Amino acid sequence: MTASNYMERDELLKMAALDVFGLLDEYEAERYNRSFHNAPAGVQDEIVALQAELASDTSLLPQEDPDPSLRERVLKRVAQAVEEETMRLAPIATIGRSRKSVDVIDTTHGRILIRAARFWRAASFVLAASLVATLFMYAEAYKGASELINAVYVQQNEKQFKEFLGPTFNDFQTSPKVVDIPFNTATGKYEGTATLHFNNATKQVLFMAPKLITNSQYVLRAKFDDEKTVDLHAFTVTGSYTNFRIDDVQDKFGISSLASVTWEIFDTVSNTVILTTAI
Amino acid sequence: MNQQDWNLMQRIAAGEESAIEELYDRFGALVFKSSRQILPSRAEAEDAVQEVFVRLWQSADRYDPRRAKLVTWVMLITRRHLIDRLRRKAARPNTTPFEQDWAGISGEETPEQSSIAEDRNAVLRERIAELPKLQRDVIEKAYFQGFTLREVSEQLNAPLGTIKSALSRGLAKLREKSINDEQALG
Repeated sequence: MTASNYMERDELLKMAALDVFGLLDEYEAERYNRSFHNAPAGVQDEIVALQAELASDTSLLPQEDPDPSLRERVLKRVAQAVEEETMRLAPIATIGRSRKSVDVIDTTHGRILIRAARFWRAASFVLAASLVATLFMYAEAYKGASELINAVYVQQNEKQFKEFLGPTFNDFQTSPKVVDIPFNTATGKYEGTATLHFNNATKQVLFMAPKLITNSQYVLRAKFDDEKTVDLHAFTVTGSYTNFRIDDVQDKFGISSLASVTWEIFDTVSNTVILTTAI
Repeated sequence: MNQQDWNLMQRIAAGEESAIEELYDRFGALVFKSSRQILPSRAEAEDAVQEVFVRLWQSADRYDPRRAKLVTWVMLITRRHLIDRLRRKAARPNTTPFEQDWAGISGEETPEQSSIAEDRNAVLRERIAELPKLQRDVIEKAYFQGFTLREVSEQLNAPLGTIKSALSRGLAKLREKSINDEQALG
């Protein structure tokens, strides 16, 4: 990437006003966001403060106040949207719970749930299209994504990947209730990457890591505000790509939302936290 | 990082009603006024407010306090929705200059309401009228009519960089005038 793809401070500040009012088109917005993330912390703080000032400024807005009845209408409209989304997801969540199978589907060790196979075979045509879309999506989002794609196709993990993802993945991934949070290196040295996908509606967690050190053993751990920890899943990395899904994290581990815990990847060999979602 | 705002948005993502009430109480007026600035009638503005808060719920778990304060996030979601509405309606007054009365377009209001509506952007209108023509035209087209910068560049037959600069400078001048006027009032 050339230097001209990043805006310098002055241009960033100039574009900050356009950004906060939604005036940047798609290309400019992407360039702006990339530049923001590439800027020094001090410049980022400056931009955050400037945009908050611009957004809060009501001097150029009409001085009409909303009708008091609007509050109730807004709450009703949002409640309706929440209910509709919950109803839409309810049958999907039930599929997981109705099976008397383990809740963890772990493809790093090649264990595939046989009982669910017929559901996944039936959805394989739909999944093929969503798989391509999903991989391109990750190619956009993550460094080293080409390795991920290679891991799927070259290392013949495609079947495992499809069976792992299952027919619910497309809904999982496209649900507005899913929050994606990348892990950051805890030691400042580790270059592996991982991402957690947390579905606030179904309380499912999807963990994906394209580059963890192979032949090492790890634990996905959740740490609460009181420093208590709970280990959700132990895994050994045997290939260049690791993924697993955990259902019912609220019932099983008391994790109700992403906000309630910090996630860590703990290396049981070196006894260190190598990746964390702590900001 | 503002942990409280992040926690609030996580609660909203989980559909917690009290959290949505809190968000409305903090930003409902801002969202309404921003909508009223762009949309010609109160009814449309009120409908927009409801849709904005649904979008705020839908995107709540994507809010990143490292990237922006909550008020910025709310304004961004609001403005994007308003621009989407303008484009969807395809009712952008392509040839209607900003100086014309927006309230008359809907035909839904009483003469008294129209009179009030005429004044709702009066201060802003005066300040925009004082800007250089290019800045005035760009603000009208991009900010009030929802055209993309590229579209504005084509319409005005000016380079994209020139359009961006004009928009940025125009908005900065409007704010500067606003601050000066407030200071003058003491």
